[in-house]
Amino acid sequence: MRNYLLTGIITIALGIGVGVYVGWVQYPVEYRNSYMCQLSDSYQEEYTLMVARGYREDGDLNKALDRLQPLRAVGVPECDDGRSYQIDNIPEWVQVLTERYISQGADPALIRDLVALAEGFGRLTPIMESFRS
Amino acid sequence: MSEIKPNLKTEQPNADEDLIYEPGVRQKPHTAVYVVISIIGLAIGLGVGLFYTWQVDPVIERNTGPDKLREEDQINYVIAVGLDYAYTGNLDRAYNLLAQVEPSGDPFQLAADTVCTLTRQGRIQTSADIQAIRNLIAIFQGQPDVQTNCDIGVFSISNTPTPTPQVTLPTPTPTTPPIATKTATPEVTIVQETIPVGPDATQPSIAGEMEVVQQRPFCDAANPGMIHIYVQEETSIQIPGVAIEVRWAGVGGQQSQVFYTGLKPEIGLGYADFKMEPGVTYIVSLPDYGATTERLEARTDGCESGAVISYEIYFRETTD
Repeated sequence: MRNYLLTGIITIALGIGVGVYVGWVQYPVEYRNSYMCQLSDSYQEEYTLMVARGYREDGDLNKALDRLQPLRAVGVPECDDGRSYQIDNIPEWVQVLTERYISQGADPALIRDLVALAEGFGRLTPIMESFRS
Repeated sequence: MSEIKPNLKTEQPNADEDLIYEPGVRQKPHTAVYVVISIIGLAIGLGVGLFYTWQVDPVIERNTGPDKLREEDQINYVIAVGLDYAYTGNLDRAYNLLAQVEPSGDPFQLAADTVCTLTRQGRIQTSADIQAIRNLIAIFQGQPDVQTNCDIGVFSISNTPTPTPQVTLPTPTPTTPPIATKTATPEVTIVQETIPVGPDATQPSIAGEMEVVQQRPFCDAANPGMIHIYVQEETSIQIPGVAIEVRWAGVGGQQSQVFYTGLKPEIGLGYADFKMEPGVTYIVSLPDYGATTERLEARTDGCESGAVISYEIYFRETTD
């Protein structure tokens, strides 16, 4: 009887281990209705760049701001995922991203697009001056 | 003594045959029970593990891609791709960006479906929205096997230029468009005094919609960087007193200027013009009628003379 009990406990523990591996690693929950603030950093940057180009296209600053609003993580519990930089203030985010790209020596054409939007938001900093169109 | 022992051993197996067999019979139900307990234990453990990881404490997804966005944000993403395409004119890039949203589908079809979704949801309210739609249409227009299940003709512009137009230099001097039924006579001078223009003027009576029917770049070394605007009735009769808005991205953000047709009747009653700054991109629209041009970039590399390029815009009334 004691052996039966021991066997049961061991196999249950083994099953839990397998279940945790499968549920967290192999087949984690797939989110199908994610918010834009849950996008990976690279996609958030890509999206910001596209909106910046749209701003250069139509010059509509309010529209650009509207389009970037979904990136804000504030007020969306799902977006509280512990990443190092949570977007709250859109003009600040554009400034941070622009300065980061300048620091990283990114493509100047790309930087110019972001600088135009940062300037539109009144966030032109000295480091951006040389990239003004 | 040593000879007796072997005899005993050889006899015992036959005598205790049942005793040797019995332990095997007892072990069989033990193994079956262990197997059953193991299966049940594993199943219970697996169930508990999956319930915990999928329901109680699911792993937080930190690197979501555009394909997992909710519908509303996917639409925002696709619109942004259209903006990007309108600016860069890079169709390969637009294709790849759209493929991120729907990896298993046709990216061009996704652009078409998004246009129809926006149309059906009534989300096209401003000139910027119309422009966004046109950007998306430019992506999938001309692509084979793309089906649109809505009417996109309403967004099309005659002679729509490509996002990065290759400007040819036809004539150095723009020709003034002919007025269909009226000719410029000295009477025009009299009209100049009576044309109601400006913010306080009475609205011109335009029954139908207005649309951009022509948007043509040209070079004029003598008078570079000009936007010549003509507002006409359906029969090409020019319409004075129509408000025109020009918007552009200035140093301090978005800037705009509103002016009216008819201030230069010696050129045309429905004529107005605007001087562009080199390198700046402009959008011309009729704010009262929603008609908006494509972007007009004051390029300096389009003319052999090095002059800033000029544009000729025709807005015409439609009664469809």
